Amino acid sequence: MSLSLILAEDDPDIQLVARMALKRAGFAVRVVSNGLEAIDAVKANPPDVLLLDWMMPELDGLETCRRLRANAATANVPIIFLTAKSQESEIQRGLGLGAIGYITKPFDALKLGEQVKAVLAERT
Amino acid sequence: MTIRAKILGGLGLLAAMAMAESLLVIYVQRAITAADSEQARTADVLELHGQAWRALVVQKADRRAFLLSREPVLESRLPASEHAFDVAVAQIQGAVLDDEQRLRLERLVRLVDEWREQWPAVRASAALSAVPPAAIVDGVDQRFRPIEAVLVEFEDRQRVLADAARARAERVRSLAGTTMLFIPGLALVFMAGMAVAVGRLLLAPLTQLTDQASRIARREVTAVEQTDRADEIGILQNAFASMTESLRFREGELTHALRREQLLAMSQAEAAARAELANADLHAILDTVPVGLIIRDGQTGAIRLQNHAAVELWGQEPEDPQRRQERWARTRVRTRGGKELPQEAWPWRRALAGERIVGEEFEIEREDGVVIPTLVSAAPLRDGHGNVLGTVVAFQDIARLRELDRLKDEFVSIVSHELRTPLTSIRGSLQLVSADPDAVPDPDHRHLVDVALSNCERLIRIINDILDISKIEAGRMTLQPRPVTVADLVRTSVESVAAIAEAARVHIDTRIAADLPPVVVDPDRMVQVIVNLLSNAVKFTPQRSQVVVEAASRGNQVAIAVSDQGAGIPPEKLEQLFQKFHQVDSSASRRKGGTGLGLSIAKALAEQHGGTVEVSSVVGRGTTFTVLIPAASPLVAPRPVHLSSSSSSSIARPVPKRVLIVDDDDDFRLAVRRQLEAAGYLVVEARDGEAALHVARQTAPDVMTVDLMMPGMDGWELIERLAADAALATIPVIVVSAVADRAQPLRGAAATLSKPIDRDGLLREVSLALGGRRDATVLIAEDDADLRQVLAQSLVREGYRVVQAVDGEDALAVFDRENADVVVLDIRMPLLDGFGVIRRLRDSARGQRVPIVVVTGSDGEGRSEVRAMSLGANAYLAKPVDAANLARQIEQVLTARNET
Repeated sequence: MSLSLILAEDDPDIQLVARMALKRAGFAVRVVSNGLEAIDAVKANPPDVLLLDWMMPELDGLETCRRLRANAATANVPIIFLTAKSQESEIQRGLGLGAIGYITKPFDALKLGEQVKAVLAERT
Repeated sequence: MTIRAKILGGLGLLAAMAMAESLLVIYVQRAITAADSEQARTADVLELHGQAWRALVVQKADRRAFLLSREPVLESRLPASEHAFDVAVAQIQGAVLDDEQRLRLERLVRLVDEWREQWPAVRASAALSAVPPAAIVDGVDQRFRPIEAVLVEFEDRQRVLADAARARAERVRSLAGTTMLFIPGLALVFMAGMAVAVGRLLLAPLTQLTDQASRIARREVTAVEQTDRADEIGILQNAFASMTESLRFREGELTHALRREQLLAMSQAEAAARAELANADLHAILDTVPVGLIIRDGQTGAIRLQNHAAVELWGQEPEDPQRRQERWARTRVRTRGGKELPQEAWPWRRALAGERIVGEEFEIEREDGVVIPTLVSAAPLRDGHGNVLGTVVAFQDIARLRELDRLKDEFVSIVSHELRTPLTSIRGSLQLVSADPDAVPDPDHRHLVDVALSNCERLIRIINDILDISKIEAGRMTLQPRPVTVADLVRTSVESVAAIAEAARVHIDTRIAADLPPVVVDPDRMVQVIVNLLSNAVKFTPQRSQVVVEAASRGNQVAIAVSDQGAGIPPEKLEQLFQKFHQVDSSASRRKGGTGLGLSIAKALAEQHGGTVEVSSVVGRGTTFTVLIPAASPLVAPRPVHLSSSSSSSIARPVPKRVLIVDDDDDFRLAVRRQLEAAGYLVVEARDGEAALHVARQTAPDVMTVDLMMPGMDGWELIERLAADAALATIPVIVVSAVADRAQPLRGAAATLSKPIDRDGLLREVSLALGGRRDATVLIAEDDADLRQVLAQSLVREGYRVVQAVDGEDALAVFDRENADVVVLDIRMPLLDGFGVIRRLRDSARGQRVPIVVVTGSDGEGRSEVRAMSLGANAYLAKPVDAANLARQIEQVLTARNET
């Protein structure tokens, strides 16, 4: 059974590439374009994992993460950041909000799926 | 010859002279007497001769008269004249000395005798009367004639003798006179000679000496000749000469010394002038530099010297020690991370203890509550024996630098983000295309896709390296050191390059010495260093050859050497090797996909770990790069290397953090352990302070909770011991105790919780202590010091950086300096009220968009709130302010700002 995944990403090109890369790895992918949509999508149907961009309109990834973690209904959804923010402090900040992984852009399209699976596997 | 001998000699000479004079006088006297008596004698002889003559003449006359007259009387007179003649002759005989005269006298006597004897015959013949008278007279005369002749002869001669005697006497006299005259003359001459001699022998040298002595007295010392005279004068002169010589020598010395003194005095004066000038320069420099400098006396703690910038930064320090104490008591010093430091750990106190501090950053809160980010350097001032006399401390207000830093980071981060986003699409697209063998059927086209992809990869590496190097150069590469084994580091690094090594058909041979001590490094960064060297080696070693990684102890360092079998690097090019964008053979390395930054990054990172990178190379044989890092104490327990993130791998995941619980209550420890473990933490425990120190050294926890009341070493002592141990001082400590006062955080503690604790409070403090800090600065402008403190502390606990202002004007100044992200503003403040601050902020370029949270006193009608909001405030809170509510408001306004 394929893992369900929500990709929150505002850049359509990256949406395309990431979706293809993840589908290739066997994920069932839903794509949203900002934090608010992500929260709605998670609430509507909690995925196995949420890939979250940081810089997004409406609600950024950090705040999205914070809100999801603050809500008991969504607190347990595993969140992995997928962002161009690659500074150590930024990574620590993202992980500090309760994300289980942090993948920096530009990601390796051929390994992205495996990386997500590895992070999920390590968690359990 | 001594003077005494000379004088005696002189006196002797004088005596001899007198003697000779006396003898001469006697002799002359004698000569005169002799000449006189001779003269008298000759004169007497002449006189006697005359008498004798006269006697003879009388006799002859008598005889003639008798013969003529025959008068008996006449005859009777004859004996008388005879007698007279005899007497005279006898006298003459006694007086005549002249032999000739004597002979004449004898002849006379003889003739006279003969004449006398003829008398009776004559008388008789004459009696015959036949004889004429004339004949008789003739006869008498005849017979007398020879006598007369002798008489005349005698007299003539005698006269000659007498004349001679007289002449001689005359001569003797005149000679005596001359002689007598000559003697005093001689004496005079002698005396004069003596005088001259005395003068020349005694007085002249004495005068000369006196002269010289007086010249010496007049300080004109001229040389006195040594003499070979052996007398006292000679000795005196020689003594004097040597005295003069030594005087002259001494004088020379004195003159010399004087000149030296003068020169010294001159140079001292010059030096003093120069020193004054230098001092003036120094003060000018000190007052011009933008760095505050304070030299403080170690004994009294009083300021000995401070410059203008120091006064600007701190204000004038009170003279009164007690006021000073109060001032210090109100001053807070925090680390950059916000940890409040006890006074003993303040930089100037550390300097007083002998430590040198070079450019450490502190957040210093002045007594007026203003927080100044400060770069502090400090050093002890020591005397010649090494005793600390005081401290010199340099403060630099680095708010502006922080701002520049922030801008640069922002710039770099934006650029990198803006580049990364398109690169992500390009790379992903190319990867997906090239991964599908059917997507590009034409091999040439497939090759073109590969070229695009590999250059895309290279571009990504360059961006990562530039980010790294800019961070390192800005000193913002923060390490997260932990104890790890060298074997782990090397293994992880080799794994990272395994793929490229395999692609290049290079075998990596790993040789790790047994018993290597662990190292305390940031594993991500140290792996980056080794990977940089390894990937270089793989690139430059020929296909099917070997790259050797060798780890060994070297002194108190660990050396990790990476050797290739490549072409080697000429010695003259070794130095440039670590320069940025330097490539020995740029075309070759470009072909191999290098960025030209790898070695500079490796070296900088090694140096940041207190180590270095060395290189040695033999052309034609290969190159060896050696990373040297300080070995850690074998006592520290190494942890496994988990790469949290690195530029080479784009994935990061949270590393489980280790929490050390220090408490003597077993139940409490168990409860806390469960809570923390449920939240994903690793937990270690200790029952008292002593055990805690041991466990902390062994396990290097990321955070500690510490109970205060414990048997043995209690919590207070433990916190002090932790702060004093360099290896443990950086571990955040959360005090969890029944006696802790939450409002009064303990010095050295990151946070304080009172028992019983709630789960959320503990988890929040732990995650905050672990660096879950927010990178926003909140400015609290509030004139009430207590409220300001409470708000500030609650926000600090939430992870914000807090700066404070005491009135409206201050708020504007602090805002400008600190570049606050949020302003919390009291409305009622002195100097400039909250409304004024809002208006001024909104009119300024930087304050235009800053979120403002207004805190108002409750006037019941909300007019202030309305007015504030209309002026441009973003949110309001009514007093009494709830700290949690304030934190929520701040988070909301910050989020809102980020979204726009």
